[in-house]
Amino acid sequence: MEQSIDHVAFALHPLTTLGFRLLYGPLPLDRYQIFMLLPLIVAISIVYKTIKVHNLSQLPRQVAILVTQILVFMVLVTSALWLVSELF
Amino acid sequence: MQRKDLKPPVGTTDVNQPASRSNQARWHLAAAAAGWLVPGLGHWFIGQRQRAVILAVTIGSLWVTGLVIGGLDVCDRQRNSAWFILQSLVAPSLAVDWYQSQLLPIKSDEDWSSTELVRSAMEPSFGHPNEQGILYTALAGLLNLLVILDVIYRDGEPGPTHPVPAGHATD
Repeated sequence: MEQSIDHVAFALHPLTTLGFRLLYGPLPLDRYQIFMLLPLIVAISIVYKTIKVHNLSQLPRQVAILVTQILVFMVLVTSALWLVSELF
Repeated sequence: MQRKDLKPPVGTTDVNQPASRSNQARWHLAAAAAGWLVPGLGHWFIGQRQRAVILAVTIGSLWVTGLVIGGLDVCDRQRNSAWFILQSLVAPSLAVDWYQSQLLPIKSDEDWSSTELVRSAMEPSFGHPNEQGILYTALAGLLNLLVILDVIYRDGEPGPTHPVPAGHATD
């Protein structure tokens, strides 16, 4: 009886009834791991270019160039490693 | 060669001008400390306000996103001590570590039946969400280190004292 009351109390808890509790539990992101790299690349590019450029009006263009460079290089490296693993 | 040929081109400043000495390196340690407390605050203090807002939003978003992905659990000095060194380069990570250490961890399914525990409990993260959360918060720390170093040396940059094309003026 006492245990069932506890279950009800738990179910009525405003945070746990949603299943996901913001900050108090992890997000279920197992499927989308590869896409989580994109925000990292964008953040690195923005911070680096914000420090480096003299005129901030050039920032969006510079960030776009750096993001593209990183992505292209990562795709090339990934392709090369895949090719090596397939050939040998 | 005549003397007038040595003048710098239009739109640039002369390296050898006496006035340029006042622009030499001056370390902004207080601004750097402020930048550690809140990312971008150091740039705000030295007058680079537009830059400060961009840095604060970017690093802050990255750090908060890491916490949302993995939960408060990602800042854990006991479990991930090496990663925590990087995370602590953003000062609020220390507060998160202290706060999450006050919460009771849920270690088994039986724990969920305890109302007392659930009220103050936190579900620890494992696997990919934990890795991603740690990666995001640690990267936010590393980027903040870059920003702190930039604040310290920003006046020491050659910028205005070296020849700079007219179209590349600082903000």
